[in-house]
Amino acid sequence: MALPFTKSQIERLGKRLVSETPPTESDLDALAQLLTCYDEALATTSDRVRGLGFDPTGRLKNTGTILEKLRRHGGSWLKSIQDLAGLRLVVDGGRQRQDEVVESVRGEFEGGERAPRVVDRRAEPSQGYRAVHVIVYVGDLPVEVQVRTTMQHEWADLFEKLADLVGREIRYDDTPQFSWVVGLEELRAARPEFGEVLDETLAQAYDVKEKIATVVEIMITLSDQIATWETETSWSPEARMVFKRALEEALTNLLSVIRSLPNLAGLPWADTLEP
Amino acid sequence: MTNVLVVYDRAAGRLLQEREFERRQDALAARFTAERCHKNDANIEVVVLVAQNRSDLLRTHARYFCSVDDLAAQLA
Repeated sequence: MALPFTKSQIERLGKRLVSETPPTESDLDALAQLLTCYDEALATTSDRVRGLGFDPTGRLKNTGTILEKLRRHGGSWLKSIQDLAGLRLVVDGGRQRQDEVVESVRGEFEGGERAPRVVDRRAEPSQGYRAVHVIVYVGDLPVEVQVRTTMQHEWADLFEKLADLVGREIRYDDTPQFSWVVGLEELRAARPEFGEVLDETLAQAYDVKEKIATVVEIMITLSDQIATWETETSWSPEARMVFKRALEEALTNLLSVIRSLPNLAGLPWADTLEP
Repeated sequence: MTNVLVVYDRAAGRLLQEREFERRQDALAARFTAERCHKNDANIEVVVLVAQNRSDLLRTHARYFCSVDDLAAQLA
């Protein structure tokens, strides 16, 4: 599948997309054209994975998330993004079945122009995220096939939802520096005459930040517990009960911390400090 | 196959729009239009999900359709 752009044109497009806020209409048009090509690759991949007997859901990465990623990695990253097009498969049957599905997908795309690449994110999870990704190629275009067990997926869905609510920084960073806290700190340093009022607001912001850190900690622990559960092959009925109770306890704790958080979008400083 | 355009408010954790299209190209065109409408609001996510049916979508992308409590209950 041929792209209507050269690699260096894509690289320059990526750089322009992050240098202008918001991006220009013509650059958004070019990105849409690029994504349309990836959509064809996605449709082809989806048909072939469906042919293996699986029911994937597909999506193209949305423009906002692409821009977010380019800002983190630099505009030139656009030519290297592996997951502009992605499929997701959620499989019952634990890790053994996950491995079988991964092998089946990998085998389907072996012998193509580029060999598929398996990225096992179970042994070294990032912020608790565990799954196996298979990067397959349609012509030269990569499509990421995420293969998750049911529990890995339910954990990931919950974590992503929490990130929506408290700040997407928690997905990448152990100690996220939320823009609303940094903004308040800068304001405090720049305007000492409002020290008393700003100190009080800052204390409130630090409290929220600490609670968010607790949420992340609970989620990472949960992911580790799920991994232990999934890798242990022989559980006694008592051990199953202990695991289930620990899971329920952690989730109850999590929800109680979440409920103690203020609505971040409704905080008095949020509108003025969010980028 | 179902092609579903989803417009989702991340900060509120709420689905704003769900629209089904017969043709994949029409869903993608609607996505690009919706993204332009919301380009100044980083909290709005616009995505097209393609699946065999809606129940597959609900399983693989429950985050757009369910609350934190629902997702926690599912995991428990």
